[in-house]
Amino acid sequence: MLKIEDVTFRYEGSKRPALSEVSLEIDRGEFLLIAGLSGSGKSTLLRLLNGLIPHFYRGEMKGKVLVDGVDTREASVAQLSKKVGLVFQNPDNQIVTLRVDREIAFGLENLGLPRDEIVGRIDEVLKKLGIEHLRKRSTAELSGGEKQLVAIASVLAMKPDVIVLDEPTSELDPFSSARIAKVLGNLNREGVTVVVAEHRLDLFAPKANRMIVISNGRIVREGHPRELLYRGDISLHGVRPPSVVKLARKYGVVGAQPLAVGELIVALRRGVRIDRS
Amino acid sequence: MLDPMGMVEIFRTQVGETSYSKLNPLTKLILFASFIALPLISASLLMQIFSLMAQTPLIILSRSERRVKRSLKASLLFIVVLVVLNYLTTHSLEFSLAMVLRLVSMIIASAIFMTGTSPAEIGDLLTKLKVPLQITFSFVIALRFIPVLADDVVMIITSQVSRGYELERGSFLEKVRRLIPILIPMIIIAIRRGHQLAEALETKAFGATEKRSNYVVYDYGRGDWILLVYAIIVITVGLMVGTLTPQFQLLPFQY
Repeated sequence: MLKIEDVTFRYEGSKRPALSEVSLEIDRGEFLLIAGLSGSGKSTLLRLLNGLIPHFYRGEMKGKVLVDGVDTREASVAQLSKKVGLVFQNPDNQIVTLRVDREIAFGLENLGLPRDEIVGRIDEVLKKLGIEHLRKRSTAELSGGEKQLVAIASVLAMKPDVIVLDEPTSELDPFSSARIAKVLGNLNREGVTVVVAEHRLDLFAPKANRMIVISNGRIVREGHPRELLYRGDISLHGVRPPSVVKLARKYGVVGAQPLAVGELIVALRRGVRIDRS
Repeated sequence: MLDPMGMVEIFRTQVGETSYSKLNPLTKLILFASFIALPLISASLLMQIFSLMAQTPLIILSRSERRVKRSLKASLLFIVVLVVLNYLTTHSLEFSLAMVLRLVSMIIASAIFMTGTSPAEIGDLLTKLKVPLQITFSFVIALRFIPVLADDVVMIITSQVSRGYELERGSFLEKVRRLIPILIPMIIIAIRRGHQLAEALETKAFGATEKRSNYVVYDYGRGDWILLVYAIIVITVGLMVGTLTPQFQLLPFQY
C-alpha cells in the first residue's frame, strides 16, 4: 500500500539529513505507531507519505516513496490526498472555515464533488466519530479535543485509504487524548489503515499492531508494540515504556505482556506468578 | 447622557436566527444597496423621512427595534450637535435635519446588514459575485484566525510581563517602543501558523480543481421574492419623490 524505499531527505538549509536510508512498508489495515524523540524525524517521515515532501518542502531527496504503486514525485499532493489523509499536531492551524459542517465539506469542495455526495459524507463521518451534535457549531468555540476530532473528520471525509496523524494529542488534555486514541482504534477495526506518530504510548500502544522507533533519522526498532516495549532496550532511544509495562515487570507478569491497565489486571487475576522481590 | 456603548449598540452582533438572517445573502445585499442608495437620490427632507420609514419592515424582520431605539436614544445629544453645526454653516434647518436623517438611515441600513449576515455568508456572496477564490478565502481565513491570534497576543503579553517586563512605562514614544518585544514573537508565531495552515490546505487539495463545488447553497424563498419586490417598489417611489422640487437650495454653503 505505502512503500518507502531507501529514502534520505535533507531539508534545505540544514546540514544533517532529517531521514537517512529509511525503508518501510505499510500494509492495508495496519495500525502503525511511530515513536521517537522530538526532532528524530517522525514528522519528516509522515510528510513523505502524502507528498508534502518533496512537493511542499524544499530539500534534497534520495530514494522513492510509492503510494499504491504511484511515485509521490509524479503525483500532486492534491491527488495523493484522496489516498493519504494527514492530520497535524495543532488543531487550530488546520481548521480553515468558521463552521464544523463547512470544515468537513472544505476538502470535498476542493475535489469538486457533487453537493449530495458531500452532504452524505458529512453525515457519515460525524456519525462515525460520534460528534453529530457539533455539526452547526462555530469552529472557534470548540474545545481542543473537539477541534482535533473535527480535523480528523475533515480528513476522513475525503475517504483516504490511509489516515496519518502527527502527534494528534500533544495539545490535548488526557481525557480528549484517550478519546482520540479510542476513535482511531475503532476506525482501524473498520478497516482504515492508521499511521500515528505519538509520545503517549500508554494510549496508543494497546491499539497498534506494529510499532517503529525512530532515532536520529533512522528506523532503529521495528516490531509488535508488546515485543518492543517489553524488550527493555528502547529507552536507549528516548522512548519510555508506559507505566503498565513497568508495573508488569515489577510484579513479574511479563509473560502476558500487558499494555493496557485492563490487561494488567486480567493477567494479575489469572494468578500469573507474582514476584515481589 | 453620554453613553458610547449605547451608541454602538446597533452594531452589536445578533444572537440567534431571525427571519432577516435566514434570507438569501444576495437579497440582503440588494436590500442593503437599495437603502444606501435611497437617501442619496435627493437631499430633500421628505426623501430622508421616506427612506427612514421604508426601513421599518427590515427593522422588524431583523428584530432590531430595541437596538435601534437604544442607539438613537444614546446618540440624541450627538444628533442635536450635528444639526446645530449644520445649521450654523448652512442656515437652513430643513437641510440640516435632512442631512442628519440621511446619516441615521444609512447607519441603520448598514447595521441591519452587518449584524444579520454572517461572515461566511459574505464570503459565499463574494464568490457568487465572481470574486476570485483566493480573495474570498483570505477574507474567511482572516476572520477564522482573529480569535486564535488574539489568544497568542494575550499569551505573549502575560509571559513577557511575568518575566518582569513593564509594558506601560515612560512617555508615549517609549510605550510604543516597548511594544516591540510583543510584536516580534507575534509576527513569528503568525508566520509559523501560516506555514502550517498552508500545509493543511495543501493536504486538503485546496486549488486542486478548476471547478470547486459548493456545499452551502442558498435558495430563494417566498420571503426573498417579497422583499426584492419591496426593494423595487421603494426605489421606484424614491425616484418619484426625488423628482419633486426641493423647498430649499442645494448646498448653500457659505464661506
